[in-house]
Amino acid sequence: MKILLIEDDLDLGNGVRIALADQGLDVIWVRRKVDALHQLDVCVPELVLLDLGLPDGDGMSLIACLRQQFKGIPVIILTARGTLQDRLCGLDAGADDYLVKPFVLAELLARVRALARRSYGFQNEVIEIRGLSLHVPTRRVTVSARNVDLTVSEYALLETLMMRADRVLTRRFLEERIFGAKENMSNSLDVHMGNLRRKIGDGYVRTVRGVGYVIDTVPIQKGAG
Amino acid sequence: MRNFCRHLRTPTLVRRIMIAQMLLLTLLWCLFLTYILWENLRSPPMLTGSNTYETILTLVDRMDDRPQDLTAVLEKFSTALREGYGGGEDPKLSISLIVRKNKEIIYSSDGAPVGVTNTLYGKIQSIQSEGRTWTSRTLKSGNSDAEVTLVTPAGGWNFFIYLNSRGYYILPLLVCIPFLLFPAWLSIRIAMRPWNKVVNEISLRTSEDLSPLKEVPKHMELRQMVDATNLFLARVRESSERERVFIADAAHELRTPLAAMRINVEALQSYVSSNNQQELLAGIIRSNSRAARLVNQLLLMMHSEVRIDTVMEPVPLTTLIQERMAALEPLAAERRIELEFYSDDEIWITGVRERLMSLIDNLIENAVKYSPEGGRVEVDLRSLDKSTQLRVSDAGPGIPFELRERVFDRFFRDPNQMQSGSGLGLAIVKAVAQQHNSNVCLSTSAEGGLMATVDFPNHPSA
Repeated sequence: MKILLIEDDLDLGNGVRIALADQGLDVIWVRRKVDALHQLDVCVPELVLLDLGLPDGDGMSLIACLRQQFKGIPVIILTARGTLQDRLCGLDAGADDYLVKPFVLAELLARVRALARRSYGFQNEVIEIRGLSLHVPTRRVTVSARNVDLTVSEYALLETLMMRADRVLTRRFLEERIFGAKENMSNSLDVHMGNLRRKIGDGYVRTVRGVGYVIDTVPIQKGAG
Repeated sequence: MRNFCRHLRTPTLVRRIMIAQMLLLTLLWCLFLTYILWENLRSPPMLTGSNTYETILTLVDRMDDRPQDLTAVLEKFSTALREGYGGGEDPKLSISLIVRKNKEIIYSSDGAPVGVTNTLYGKIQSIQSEGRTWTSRTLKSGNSDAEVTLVTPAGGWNFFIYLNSRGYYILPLLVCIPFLLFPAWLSIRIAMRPWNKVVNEISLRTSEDLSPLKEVPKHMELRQMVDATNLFLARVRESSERERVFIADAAHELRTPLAAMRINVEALQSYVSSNNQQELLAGIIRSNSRAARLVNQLLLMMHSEVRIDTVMEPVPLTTLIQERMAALEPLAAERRIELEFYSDDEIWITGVRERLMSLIDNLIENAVKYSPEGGRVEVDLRSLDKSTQLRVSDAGPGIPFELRERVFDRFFRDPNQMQSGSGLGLAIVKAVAQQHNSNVCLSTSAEGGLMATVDFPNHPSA
């Protein structure tokens, strides 16, 4: 995947470039707005990582420019300013995602992949976690190569959790996502979750009591260690 | 009693104004009195009037044939005059009567300055005699050649004796002053009321509130004071705002090199095979995380300090805590700590969402940080009669009782605490809590760790 990195800080730019290249991503790194505009024309990147504090112009104006001329290109903002207002500003201007410095490499990679998936669809995408796999286009779920039949709600629940693996999803988020619920559907969520767990087996969905559910890519051992 | 004495000793403006008023009154009274007395001394009413003269002349004319009786009557008369004048029997201090007939003295008061003679009839004259100055006036009878002269001492120093004899002029003032004190005090108190309003407004402020005074007095002097205070407050506000902006800018500037360092080290990790080197890199990453966290907390601190432009709005606290716990879960999972949240249905409070977020984050992060591996952090939100109570408990070492106040100070850390930390977390929690009119208290949790309790006053519509 071709990524255009626009970052004026030498060490950070270089670090990100090498770290992403190690992950097999093709990174073009520029340090000025002018060069960024030029590169956008020349090599048409699939994703843009943009630092807002550029020496020759405000990053926001660059986003506006991107949105006008290169509508489809997803943009992740990298910035040192992380208040809610700053984020909203950036997202309103047309950015797709927002990373506040200092960020962890894993986080950056996760965001890049997630955004790429969101932007370029899940064609032939199989999400697989510890033997539990989900084939998005056909909605087929298998556990250790064994087919599992799920109702619409259960599938939606599983897909939501698997697409956001390692992130705890709050009960409210899940309810709104699955039932579009405005009223209290807590019991209903628990029932569906119970059924889902019975069908795919224990050890996949972890409950965070009172908060929500998560599917861990790496299982967490309980108990004192 | 002692308090009362101290109260009396402390100077007050009211008292000052009262004393000034009374002094002024006394001074005016004295000036007035001096003027009156001085006038009297220069031209005593006894000498200017003619009744006394007429009476004596009539006596002299009518009793011409009985000189002894006349002398006796004049003697009595002189005594009465002196008594009326108030100078006693001393001729140097009192009035004297001299009666002449054919320029011959037929009677003079005891010790009267007999050398005093007027050159003109009916005129008050100042005359030197016996080394003193006298005021005298002589009238001549129309029917005979009898003359009556009244003489009073006229020296400047006589004024004081005169004043002394006329002491009753001072009395009314001395009697009046106590009666004047209370109305004066009352009127000043009433006049000072607008002042008290302003004082009340200032004294009711929270320590962080630097907004201009809302009380705009109509009175010029007070308005000047309020304007000056507002100007001063504005300056203080500006300087603290500048300071905050400076710290925030510095913190923001720090973030880029921190990010660069982190990314470089993480990229390096995949090239390093030896355990020792990996450990060293992990150490760099840990320090980097700590620095990053400190920078974040500095920023939060700057944002959590009360600013005028914050809008309090209803916040769904249950959902917010759920979301924050979901976001913080990976941090807990790293140390195999279980987060648990107990709450009633959605509870709303009035507040500033972002700052409440930093309060929740700090409380939960602290609990996770100080919990033993595999421990449990319990967050509990419940609606009470008058407030909404948030409790975060852990099974960590807790905070010793004597440090429970001090841990809220910035950069204060428990000296026995081995965990790394910035010492800003609880300061932020406290600042945010205060901003929401609530307070934080620390106690011992059921599992022997720390329990932090925040009481939010209830949302009016709840």
